[in-house]
Formats: sequence, structure tokens, C-alpha cells
Amino acid sequence: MSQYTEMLKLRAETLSPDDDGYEESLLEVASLFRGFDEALTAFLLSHGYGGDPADAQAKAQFLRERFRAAGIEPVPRGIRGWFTPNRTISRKTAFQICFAFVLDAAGTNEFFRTVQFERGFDCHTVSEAVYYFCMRGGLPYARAQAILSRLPDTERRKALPRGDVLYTSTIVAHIEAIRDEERLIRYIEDNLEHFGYNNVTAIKFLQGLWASIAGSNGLAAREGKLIDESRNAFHPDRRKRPVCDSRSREVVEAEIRREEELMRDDYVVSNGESSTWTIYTQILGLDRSLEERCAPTRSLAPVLTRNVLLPLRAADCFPNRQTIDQMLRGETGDHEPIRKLIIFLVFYTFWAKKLVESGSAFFTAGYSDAGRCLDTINKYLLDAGYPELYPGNPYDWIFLWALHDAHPLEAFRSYILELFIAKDSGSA
Amino acid sequence: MDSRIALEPAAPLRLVNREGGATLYTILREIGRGASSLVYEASYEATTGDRKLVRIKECYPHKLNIRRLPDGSLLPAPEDEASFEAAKRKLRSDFSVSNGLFYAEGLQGTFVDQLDVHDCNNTSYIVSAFSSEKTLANYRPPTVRECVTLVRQVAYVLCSIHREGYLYLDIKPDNVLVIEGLPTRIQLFDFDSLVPIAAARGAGSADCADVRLSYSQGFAPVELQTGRLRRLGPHTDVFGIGALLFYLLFGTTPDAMDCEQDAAYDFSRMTYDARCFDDKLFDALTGFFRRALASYYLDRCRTMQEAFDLLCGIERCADTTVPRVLSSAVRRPPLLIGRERELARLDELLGGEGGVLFVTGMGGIGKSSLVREYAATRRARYDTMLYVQFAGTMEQTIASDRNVTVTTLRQSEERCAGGRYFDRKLRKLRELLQGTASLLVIDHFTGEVDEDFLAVLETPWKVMVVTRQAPPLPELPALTVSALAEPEALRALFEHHLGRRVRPEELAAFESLAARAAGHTLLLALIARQIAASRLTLAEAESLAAAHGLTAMSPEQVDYAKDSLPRRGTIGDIVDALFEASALSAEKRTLLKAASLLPAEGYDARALCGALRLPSLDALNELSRDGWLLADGDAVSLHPVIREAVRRWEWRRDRLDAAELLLSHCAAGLSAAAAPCRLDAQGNPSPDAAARARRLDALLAQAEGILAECRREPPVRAGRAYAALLRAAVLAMPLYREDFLLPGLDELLRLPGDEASLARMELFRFAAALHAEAGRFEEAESVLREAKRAARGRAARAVLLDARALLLDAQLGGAYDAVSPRERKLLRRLLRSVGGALRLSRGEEALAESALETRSLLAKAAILLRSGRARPKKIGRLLARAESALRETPAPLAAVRLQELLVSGWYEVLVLADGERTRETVARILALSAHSSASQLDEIDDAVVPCANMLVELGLFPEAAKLLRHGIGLARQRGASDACRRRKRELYGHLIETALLSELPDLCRSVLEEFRRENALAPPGERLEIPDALCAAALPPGDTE
Repeated sequence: MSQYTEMLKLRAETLSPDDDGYEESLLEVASLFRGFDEALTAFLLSHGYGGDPADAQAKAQFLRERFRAAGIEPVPRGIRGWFTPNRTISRKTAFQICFAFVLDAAGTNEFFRTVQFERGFDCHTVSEAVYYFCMRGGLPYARAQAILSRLPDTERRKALPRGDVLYTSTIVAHIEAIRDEERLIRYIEDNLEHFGYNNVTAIKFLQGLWASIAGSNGLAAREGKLIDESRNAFHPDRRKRPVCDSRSREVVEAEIRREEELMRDDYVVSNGESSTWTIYTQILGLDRSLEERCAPTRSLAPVLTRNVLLPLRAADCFPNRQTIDQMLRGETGDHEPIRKLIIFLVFYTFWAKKLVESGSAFFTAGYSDAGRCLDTINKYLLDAGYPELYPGNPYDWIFLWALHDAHPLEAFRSYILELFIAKDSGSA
Repeated sequence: MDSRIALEPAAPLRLVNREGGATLYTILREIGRGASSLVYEASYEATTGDRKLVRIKECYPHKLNIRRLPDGSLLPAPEDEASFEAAKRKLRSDFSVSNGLFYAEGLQGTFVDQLDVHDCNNTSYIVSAFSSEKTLANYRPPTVRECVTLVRQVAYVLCSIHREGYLYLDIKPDNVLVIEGLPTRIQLFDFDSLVPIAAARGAGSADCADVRLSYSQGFAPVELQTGRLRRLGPHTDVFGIGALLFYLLFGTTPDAMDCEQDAAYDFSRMTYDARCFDDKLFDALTGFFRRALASYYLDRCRTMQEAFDLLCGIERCADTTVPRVLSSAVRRPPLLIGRERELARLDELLGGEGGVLFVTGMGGIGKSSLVREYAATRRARYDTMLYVQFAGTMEQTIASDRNVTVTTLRQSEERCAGGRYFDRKLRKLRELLQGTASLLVIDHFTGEVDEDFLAVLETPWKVMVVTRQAPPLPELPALTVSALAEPEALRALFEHHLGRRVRPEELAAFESLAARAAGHTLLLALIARQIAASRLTLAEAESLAAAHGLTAMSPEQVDYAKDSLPRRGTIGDIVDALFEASALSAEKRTLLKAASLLPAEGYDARALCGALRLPSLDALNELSRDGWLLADGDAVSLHPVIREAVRRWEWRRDRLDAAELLLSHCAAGLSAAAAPCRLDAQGNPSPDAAARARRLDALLAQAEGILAECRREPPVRAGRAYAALLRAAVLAMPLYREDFLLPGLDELLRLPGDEASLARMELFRFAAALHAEAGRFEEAESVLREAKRAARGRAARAVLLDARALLLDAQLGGAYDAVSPRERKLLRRLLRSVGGALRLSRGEEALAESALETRSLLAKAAILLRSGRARPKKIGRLLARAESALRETPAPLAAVRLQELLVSGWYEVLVLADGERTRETVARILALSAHSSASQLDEIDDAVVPCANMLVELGLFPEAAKLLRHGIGLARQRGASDACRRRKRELYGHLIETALLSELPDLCRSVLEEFRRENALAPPGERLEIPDALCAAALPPGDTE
């Protein structure tokens, strides 16, 4: 594990909302995450680049040489620009880099996890299935292009087909058993219809997770009831006033009534009939005022965009209502929103279950619960073909940090609240 | 792409051993390739000349750039030479490890027998004994049991490997050879992945994502996939074992959802017929998968031995060749609130040996949920638990293999065996269940206790019968599940289905709804769901329920679960389905439909029997036993929920006829009880008057309830019997019940019928009198205008004029001295009206019953007397005529006699001024009134107030005050209606007036104190105003303060 990853992992495990200067620490962590430019530099340094890490020109030149050596023609343009902050590159270019450095399938997946911050091979895509075949067999990029040139184009489908679907793992297993190019081409041609969609497993997982969250007996409604009974409830002790309170009884009672009114329904909670938006805002832990603030667009985007606490990589494709609705309709989508949504929903279902089982909204995590949650999230990600949580990914870090807290769901929700505060401070 | 080139078939391979001895093998074919080697089938010639088959593994790593030369040797690229050498060393090392394991205790025969390792063709070869080509990847075990057996064998081998200090780490179907025989056995091969446990634990810095082991997708746990070496251990192989069994049973590898701590598995999706097994197997499998497939390594079995033991248990459950009774899967109800006492009682009742227990209660009250909760939570107490649905007869219920499965018996196979399958099955069950703790739950039982039932009881199990019927014999133990009584439980149930809390300001509406549902759990849950689905407030729901009934609050459908099955429908549909009545005879359904009109308080069973002309009480008793009718002593009624269900049945002609019979019976009873009191030959009121008056109260309450139910049934409301009952109730109802009388009269007067009938005119008179008495003169005028339009004939006009006189009398308000022009005018009109009524009623047969003529005579005499507009002689003549008419009437009305006494009293006061005679008359008036008045308020109006006035007129103030206090006491007895309060206030007014007129300080003081006491107890809005004059008059003489 690199020093960078180790440091962020340590911060995730130790930073607590109860710490002094917690807000400042969060801001500091947010500034630590490296973007693609820095991650690529680190990758080059560990793959033969011996020049000045700050010299973009030299790094670009090194890359060009590797591209040429690997027979990747034409060499991608604008390489120097990759070393400027907040730049991203396409998946195709990322695969070209992997070919240029003769990475195998595992190495390529690792590159995508730690540098590109995306899923590795999506073998439901013809080109990436071919890349996977070639990288496993040590074939060069030119060979992959030659195979691709013999294959017809596929049309991307917006939704999963109604009938039988082919899981990515099945395709991978087939590709791994194929020994020559001809059979690979024949296999892809025979199953071309199945290369028009992807994320079958992920969508199945997301729909299953949402089914356990929504509905009258769903986790959200049950957790909502607990919130209603505790956080939204007016505790009887609040009715007690100090003996020395010399105000008249009417005045004191009026004050208690006002307080009670303020407390009621403070946090958004869902019931069996609630909309996606209500459940989503409950998961985020928004109170009424914050929910009303987002209600016009029913989106968190205005708060997330250019938020000092949230690096671009984390803000990009942050789970939102639309993604959930699309997923419920069975629409296939881009990888990143789906990966982020898996993490978001698995994290919530894991802790909401614990909370509901404990019967208290103030549930405290057990000794091994953090590890258990981490492995559960990773299992979902890996089974859906996505890389496991990575501390160097700013979005992943939020969850890695929250799950190490004694009150993980609360910690996550406090982070979301900090985003609002940071946004307001930034605007001010 | 795998570019490795295999040795050609028939290629010779001369392998030399350590001592220099050589064996010539002939390559037959390539049979497999792994990441680091190719595997061939080969042969050699034995000394006898026989051809022996072997397997040969050639070291030939896939990742390295290695060429096959024409002579068969392998040539690595220079940069891969070192790696190739390492691979060869690894192959040799693996051979040594596997050879060591081969001879380890317990492992003999469980590995492929690797004979030797040789160098040739610039690579290394391992020669193994011939073995099957069949692996678990291409072999489908014929039964679930064999799947478990094979996986148990794998677990056993891994157990031994772990004991020897190694982890296998690559369990997958392709690595498990199947050797078919008796029994089928397995062998493991491919030891490339073996890792010493100590090496894994000491990985130290290697515990990072940078180090990756090879693994097979779907069979590797998270720690292996993410390369966290320090987390590897026997539990890593346990995951492989779990995944292997999962794969064999479901045909697919487990996904993330299957690896959750609380994962649930749908065993109906197994590639084997799940119906052959009971929940014991599925529970065991679920427990195993949760302990084997958990994502988090510490949640898995820590040792392979644990997994092995679990598999042994599963193997026993999966054995279908042993005769066994398969237990049912009982799902716990999602919610059960407020039934702790009943559960404890079930524990108590089922604590003993054997026997039967009836769990009874009405539909939807929660019997099945209670029993399911018991069965699910007490499962461990029983070796066998069967939860079956009654299938019409006990024979069908038990004989059904779907309900009760004995693994070695099949109903279809037993057809030809002769005799009843039921009997043979029971015999087998007795044999199998002997000495075990077993429970049979028969839900929805609707049958009889017959021979088959008794035969079932003779089986060594406890039988719990869930039914709406009462137990057939009273001595049989029973638990009656009744409505939820605890308010907290009701509220918790309601809030659960509402999806939110009931707010303090909604409590009243909630309580009202809960009362309407009478604690019926299902209905209350449905109401809550309806409110949530229709976005109603609780107050809106309450008002809708009051107007349309609980089942017609809103048209939206609701989701709910009944008997653990999800359903959807309107409340009405759900209630219909709950109380499905197709099994009832048409007569019983007619009876129930008519009974749906009965008030919630119940109706006398015999009276109902008589009203509906039933030959006996049998039908009522049967309906009561079957849970349709509630019996409380002699009274029967319908539970509100059953009433809602029955109400939705269609009003057919026969049902309407039954309803008409019931209403007519009620009306007749009411009319009889409310018949005006008459006097006997001695002038005394009939002796049963008081009893009739008491009975009248009960009948009126009953009629009111029935009329309220009828108002929700338009077909019934349109009938004559409804009108008759309403009329009888209106005429019998005490005047203070204006809340009933005013809308009742309004409804009666709007009902279609003979517009000009005398009966109708009487209703107009009644309505006008009611308004006039309450001071609503305009309303009374309006009624009279309408009456005038309808009045036809002498009798009707006489009644109209009588009604007019009542109004004018009320308007005059006792001011018979007529000082003002208005009063003079009113008095003139009053006298004209009374005179008109007298003239028109004279000799009218139709009015004989009401004695209008006599009443008019008396009224005229009273007015003339009070107003001083006639000479005493004329008044005396009028009185004499009235007395004569009364004498000639065989059984005169007590009310008319009372009127006559009152007028006589006034005559004695005003004309004769005879205090003694007046006192006597007052006493007679009070006595008659006490026995004949319909209510205390009538007594106040008809006797107390006039008599007090008489006494005041004579200056007998303390006696008048005493009488008024008696009147106040009567008003208090009557309750807290508006009319009572009004009377009390009036009486207090009279009392003040009496005290002030008396100018007696003692009387004034006592009245003042009485007022203060009254005010201290009264709510703020009802406090009496104490006149200053009274305070002043109450002061002792000479005291001005």
C-alpha cells in the first residue's frame, strides 16, 4: 500500500466528529486527495519514469515513448494537459496507457482503481472484452485493434432486456476459456445482443437493496419511525424547568409548546408510501429546512458543486434521486453513478439494519462492525465488477471514514450537514 | 489468448527417475490446462504388456513467453527464464507437499495419486495415477443428499489439509474429481494454490492490496479477492465449501446478497425439487450458508471442522429414504402487538402432554397471527411441527401430502393398496411420532368433531385447532382471542400501519375510530392503511366513517398481509373476503342481513326469533356458535366488523321482507309500550303504567339504534315499516330528546304518504308544539303554515287549530291578564283558536281517541279563568261539561284527567280562593302525574310548575318553594340534556320569583345558598345569575350590607 493510501486510510480510521477542529480536519483531508494528474505521476514513477515528478513536459515525453514502443498509433494528443489539475481521460485512453505499460488484466484493474478511479474491464462492452482477452494473453494493442476491426458495432441499450440476461461474470468465464482469436470473434458475434447493455448484476443488486429500503416494512420506514420517536420527539425531560424559573406558568408552558412545535418532524422521515426523494433525504439525514432548500430541484447538486469539502471526483456522479429512479426502471447507465450508488445504499442498509435491530436511533457500532460493513460493501462492488473501496478515492473515503465511527450513519449524515455548512460559508 | 502449444497425440515422452530407470509414455490427448501447466492423458506398457493409463502434468506457465520446439522441448524467452525456473521449482515443491498430504492420516485416497516428478523437455512433469475425468463442474449429483455428501467429503479433506498446516484456497467444482461407485467419492487435484497457514499469517507487510493471489471468481471470499493475506485462514476455505454447495444446489455461485449476515435463500429456486424437504433442512442450510458465505471473515466458521459438523447435520435432514414427518415452514407474522397474555396462556395450555386446544375468535381478530407467532417462536420445543390449513374434512386435511408429508408415503402410490390412505397415514404418523414432542396446528377449521377428528387426537401430538367456531364441547380447553383491549397496543398497531405517530391533537379521532373498529386488529390496521393511502387526516377519516361506515371511507386500495400473504384491495373487498358466507344457507344469510340492523347493544334473541317468525332458536344458536353472532346473555348482536361485511350484501326481496318484519315488530312493541296512560273505573291510572314506562325507555333506545342503522340502508329506509317505526319512536320519545325529535319529525313529514291524513296533522301539531315550547316561534309558525296547506276536513282543521292554540299559548307566556295590546291580541287569537278546535272537534269520531273536544273545553275554561274574561258561572259550566265527558268515557286518558284537575285547581284558587281544597287538588295532581307522565320533564311541565303557581297565588310560598325544589330534583334525575338544563333554569327562575314575592328572609337566604352551591358545581358557562334583589332580600332585617 502506498504512503498516500496509507495516510488517507489512517485519517479515515482516526478522524472523529468529536475531535477538536474536526471541521478543519475534514477540509484538510479534502485537500489531500490527488486527482488524475497526481495519480498518473505516481503511477509513472513506479513504472520506470525517473525524471522530475513536477516536469509535465518530461512526463508527457516519457508517455509518448511508451505509446510508440507499444505500437499504439496514433499517440493520444494533449498528453501534457493530463498533468493539470481536474483533468480526466477517456476509458479508451486509459486502456491505451495500460497497453503501453504492458499491464496484465489484474494490473489494468488496479490502474483503473487507483489512477482512473473507475471500474476495470467491463466485458459487456465489446472493446473491453477484447482488451481483456488480449491482456490476459499478452497480446499488444495493435492486435486488439485488429480483432475489433473485424467485429460489428453494437448499439447501446437504454434498459436491460426483458428476457434472459447474460451476466458479466459469465462472459468473463467464457473469454477465459477461449484460446484463440477466431473463437473469441465467433463468441462475440454469436452473443452480440448481449453486448448492448451492462451492469446487470449491479442493477439487480441496486433493485434488491432498494426493495429492502423502501416500502411499508422497509428499512427506511422502520428507521424513520425510530427517528420520529427519538430525534423528532419532544423528550419529557424538556418539559421540566428549573425550580428557580420564576416566570409564570403560562409563559413557561408557551415556551415549551413552541419548542415542541419546533422539534416535531424536524428530520425528514419516510413511511411506507414515501417517494424516492423523501427516502433519499432521510438517508442523507436532512432536516426539514435543508430538505426544503433542495426541494425545488429535488437535487443536492447545488450544494455539491464546487464545494470545498468535496473534491471533484467525489462530487461527480454523487448518488441522486434520478439515478435511483433510473435504476428502479432497469435503465443501464454509466459505471461511476452506479458504483457510487452501490456504496451509498449498501452502507445505509448495513447500518440501518443494525439500528432497527437494536431498536434505537442511537445505536453504537460493535467492535467488528466496521470491518463487517467494509467487507459487505467490497463484496457487492467486486461481485458487480467494480473495484473495492479505495481510501485514495475521495468518495470512497467518506464511507471508509464514516464506518469507523461509533455512530457510522450519524457520522455520514454529519458529513452531509458539513457540506451544506461549507457551501454556505463558501458562498458567504 | 492462450498460445501454449501442447504435445501432439502419440508423442513419446521418456521420463527418467532418480535411479536412472526410464519409462516410455505415449501422449494420448490433452485433457486440460491451468495457469501454470497442461495436463495430458498418457499410457505406458506394463511388464505384462498391458497398457496402463496415467495422467501427466507438464509445467508450462501461461503468463510466460515460452516456445515449444519441434522436439517437444520448451524454450523460455530470456527475460522469462528465471520465472520459468521458479515455476518448475514450485511444481516440484507442490509434488512434495501433496505427496506428504497423500499419506497423512485420513487423507488416503482423497487426492489424486501423484506417482513421481521428472525432468524432460527442459521442463518438469508429474505423473499421476489414472483418475476420473468427471468433476463437480460436469457431474450433477442425483439428489440433494448426494450434493451435501460430496461437499462434506471435500470439507473432510480440507479439514485434514488444514491440520497439516496448509490452506487450499482454490475450491471450485473443476478441482473436485468425482469417482462414481458405491458410495460416490471425491478426490482433489491441482495443488498449485496450496499456501502454508503460517506463511499467510506471517504475511505482515504483504497485507496490502498490492499482493494478489489467483482465485476463482464466485468461489473466493473478499479477503482473497482483495489480497488481504493476513486475513486468510481456514475460514477462507470454508467460504469455498459454502460456495461449492450453493453452486451444486442452485446452479450458480452466491452473490453479495447471499453473503449478507441475515441472507434469506429462496430454496424453491434450487435445481432440485424443494417440496420433498421440510423447513428443518432449509433452516439448516440457511444456517450453514450464513456461517460459510459471510462476507466478513470472522462471521464464518473458524475451522473446517465446524463446517463439516454442520454438513453432517444437513446430510441427515436431506435423507429422503428414512421415513420422517416433514415439519412445515411457519413464517412469523411481521407484527404482533398486545398479545403477550395470550401467548403466555398458550404456553400454559400446551405445557402438558398431548391433547387438543381450540383457539377461537372472530375472523380477522388475529388468531392465526397469534398461533403463527407461537409456532415460529417455540419451534425449538417441538421435534415436529405441522401447520396445516383445514381442507374441508379431517380426512382430506391429513391425507393431503402437501399438508402432512411422510417421506416414504405417497397418496398417489397408495391408491391400489386398499383401505383409506388417511388411516394408513395416521398409523404411520403414530409410529413415527411416538415419544417425540410434536404439534399439529389446523388453521381455519370449519368442520365437525367426528370419528376422523377423534382419530387424529389419538396420534401422539398436541393439536391446536384455530377456528371461528366455539369448541364443540364446553369441557374442551379453549383460548378465546378477543379484541385488543390495551389502548397502547391499539395505538401502536395503528401507528405501525399508518406509518407515523398519532399526534396529541388526533387522539380523539383515533379513539373514536378504534371504538368503531371495536378493537378488531385487522380492521384497525386496514383503517390506518386507508388513511395513509388516501392521504386523509384522522379527523376526516372519523367523519367519513361516521357518515359512510368504516368500509366505505375512501375508494383507494390498500396493501396488507393476511395469514402472511400480501394482498391488495379496498377495505370493503377485504372485509368481504374475510367473512365469506357462501357456506351459509340462504335462510341464515337472510337472518344475518336483518340482524345487521340491530343496535350494537344487542337484541333479545327470543324477540328476534318472534319478529322474524323463526320456528326455533336453532338458527340463531348455530350462527352464534359459528362466530357470526355475538351472544351476551339473552341478547344477540353482530360484531361491528361482521356488520360491515353483512351490510355489503345485497338487499334481496326476502332479506327486505325480513327487515320489514323486524321493524314492524319493533314499532308494534313501541306503540304498545308508549300508549297513553288511561284511568280505570275508579279513576286510578292502570297499575302497569310505571312498568310500561320503564320498558319504554329500553324499547326507545333499541328503536333509536335500529333507526340509525336503517338510515345507512336506502332500500330499508324506503319501506313502510321504517316509517312506522320512526313515527312510533317520535311519538313515544320524551320531549327533552329534541336531538332525535326534530330531525325525526322533519324526516317523517317529508316521507311520501297521505298528505292530508290526520296522522300527518298530528305530527304537524307535535312539531309545532315542540318548537313553541322551546320558544322557536318562527319555526312553529312555519310548521303550521305547512300544516294549513295540508289540512283537509273538519278533524284535520280541528287539530290544526289546537296546534295554533298551543303556539299562541306559548307566545302569550302566561300573561293571561293581557296588559299590552300584543298580549290582548294574542289572547283573542288564542280564544278563537281554542273555540274553533272545540267547535270542529265536537262529535268527530276520528278525534275521540285523542279527546280533543274535552281538552279544548278544559283549555277554554283555563284561559277564561286565568284571564278573567268570563264569569265564574260560565267557567263552571265548561268544567262541568268536561267532567261529564270524562265520566262518559270508559277509560279516559290520564293526561286529560290531569288537565281537568289543573283547571279545577285554578278554579279553586282564583274563584273560590280555598286553600285547603287547592292543597287537596294539588296533591291529587301530583299523585296522578307521578304515575302517568311519560317522563320527569312532563311531570314538571304538567304538574309541578302549575301547582307551584297555584300555591304562590294563594300565598303559600314555602310550600311552593318546596314543590319547585322537588321539580329541580326531577330535572336533575333526567340527566344533562339541553331540555333538562333549560327546565332546571326555569325552575330556578320560578324559585327566585317565589322567594322574592314571599319577602321571607329565611326563604330568600336558603334559596340564595342553594344557588351558590349550584354555581360552585356548575361549569362556567352554565352558572346561574343571582339577582341583586335576592341578595338584598336574603339579608337579615336592618342589615344593609
